[in-house]
Amino acid sequence: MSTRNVLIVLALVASCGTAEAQVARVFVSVTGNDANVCSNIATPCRTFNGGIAQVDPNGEVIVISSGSYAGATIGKPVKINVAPGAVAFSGLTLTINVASSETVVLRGITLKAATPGTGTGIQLTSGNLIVEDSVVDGWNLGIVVDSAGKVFVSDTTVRSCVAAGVRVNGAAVVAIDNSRFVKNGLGLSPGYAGVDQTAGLLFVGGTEFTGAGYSGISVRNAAQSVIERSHFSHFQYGVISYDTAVVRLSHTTVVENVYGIFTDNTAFTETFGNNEIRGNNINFSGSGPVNPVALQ
Amino acid sequence: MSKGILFGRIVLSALPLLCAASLEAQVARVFVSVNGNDANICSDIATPCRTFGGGIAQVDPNGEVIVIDSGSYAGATINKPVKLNVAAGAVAFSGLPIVVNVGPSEVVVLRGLTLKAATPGVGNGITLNGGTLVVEKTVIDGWYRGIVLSGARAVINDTTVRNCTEYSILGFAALPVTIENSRVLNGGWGISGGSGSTVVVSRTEVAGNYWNGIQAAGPGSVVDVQNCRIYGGTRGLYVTGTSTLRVSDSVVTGNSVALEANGVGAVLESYGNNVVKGVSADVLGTITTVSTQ
Repeated sequence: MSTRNVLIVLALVASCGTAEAQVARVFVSVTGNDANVCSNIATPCRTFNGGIAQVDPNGEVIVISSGSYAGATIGKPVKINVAPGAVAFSGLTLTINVASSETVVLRGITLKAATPGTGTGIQLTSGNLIVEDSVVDGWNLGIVVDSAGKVFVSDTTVRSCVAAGVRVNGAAVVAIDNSRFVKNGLGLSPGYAGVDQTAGLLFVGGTEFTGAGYSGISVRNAAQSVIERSHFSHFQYGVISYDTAVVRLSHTTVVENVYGIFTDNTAFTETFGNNEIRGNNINFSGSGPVNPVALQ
Repeated sequence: MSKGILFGRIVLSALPLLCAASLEAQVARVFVSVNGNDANICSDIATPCRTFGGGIAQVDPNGEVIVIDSGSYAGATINKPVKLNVAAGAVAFSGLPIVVNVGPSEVVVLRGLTLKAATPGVGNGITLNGGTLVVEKTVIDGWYRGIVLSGARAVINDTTVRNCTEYSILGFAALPVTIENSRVLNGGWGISGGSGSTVVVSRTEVAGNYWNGIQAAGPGSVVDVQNCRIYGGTRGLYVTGTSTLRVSDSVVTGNSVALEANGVGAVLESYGNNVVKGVSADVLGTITTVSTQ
């Protein structure tokens, strides 16, 4: 190769570098290849990981067709966005480990354990997470929050997870809105739940929890939950609090469970006089207080 | 070649031009695709445009720009009343802003877009400078400000605004704003009615914003909050200046302060049907309880 040709090649390589510095979005398709230049929709990547590797921090990985996309290890803030109408399936775990100031968005994914009842669907180790319009099915743990960051779950269905649909271990602020938890927490001891919260602040609004299962929401240690405009039915325990936990219930229906509300002796439950808690074998149980609080 | 055939060829070759001319007078809708080209005749779905701007240029005033498949569409400056409508099932992405500036009686509709700042924390996702803006089923992510509103009127439905570093939705002039069934997540400020804007927010989740969830913060601003959830900020609901904020049937919890009225002329009215629980304080300032009728 002549010196001139070498210079041209070097210049081309350099221009590739600059193109990569501004990749606000990439495309992923079941017909793609991770060796492609995936910012071009005509040459998409094949896997989540392939797209994540090529996109800028805070960039968008757009999944354009139905298929199976093989989990992901997410070490930088990205947004996986599945076109509505496509089923972007993964039987492998999505693991998220980003800085505490960084946020990952998952929109429209379908996560189902390759081996039913095992593993974790979404593992948030560090950072913040937004889950929208997704389905998490058949894991041991659907979503695990070990981070102390912020987590937002909306329009999402979590079903058939053996231990818990969502488990919050970190001192996180978790907001769950307009979602469904179906048949999670299939054991017979504390912690088996639709949402098992062992730390942090949990806000649940407009969400359906239904069994079979041990409990809809369990709140443990010094965790606090605010539950609003939600429904709990067909569990052993609708809402259960242990240790020094606090549960606040507003506009919520707890019916057709064995025990409606269980409050352990050092925990407490607050109600705002606008809940329907009836038709359970025992509506209120446990020796902790259930305090009525006035609306303002 | 006979003269007849020659004449026929001339007429046939001129036909597309004639059609183009006559169609352009009545272009109620055009199509946009990532496989298109802005030089196409985009009223034909087989020959769509490539960008929002290309479609907008070809469609009639009040016409519809229909985005038919997923791809990246490069922002738009919208100076005439049009409706951008993304087919459900497509992700119509833009890393560049949308700026709307139409006449006071004109309306622009944005439906189904995905707007994410090319450079995180920089720029405004949507800016309304003139006319009425309707935003439906749209995701706005990672800008400095998500939606900045002046002009005649704004209506926002079924929309998610997240990860914006300053204001997520900002009323910036004396215009009516209606926000319904939406989410405002993980921003600096959530929804701010400033500069005389009159804002109604209903059935909306405002969570995890660093500063105030919803505020009335300008001289003469009015904000009504109904059936909303405001979680995890510095203040849940905040009113300052000669402004009014009314709250009904809402849950305001997990903010440092749930409700705050600050300073002379700040009016905070509650209908007595809210869950109010702050981390350090429930209420600062004077709250007036009014009855429902």
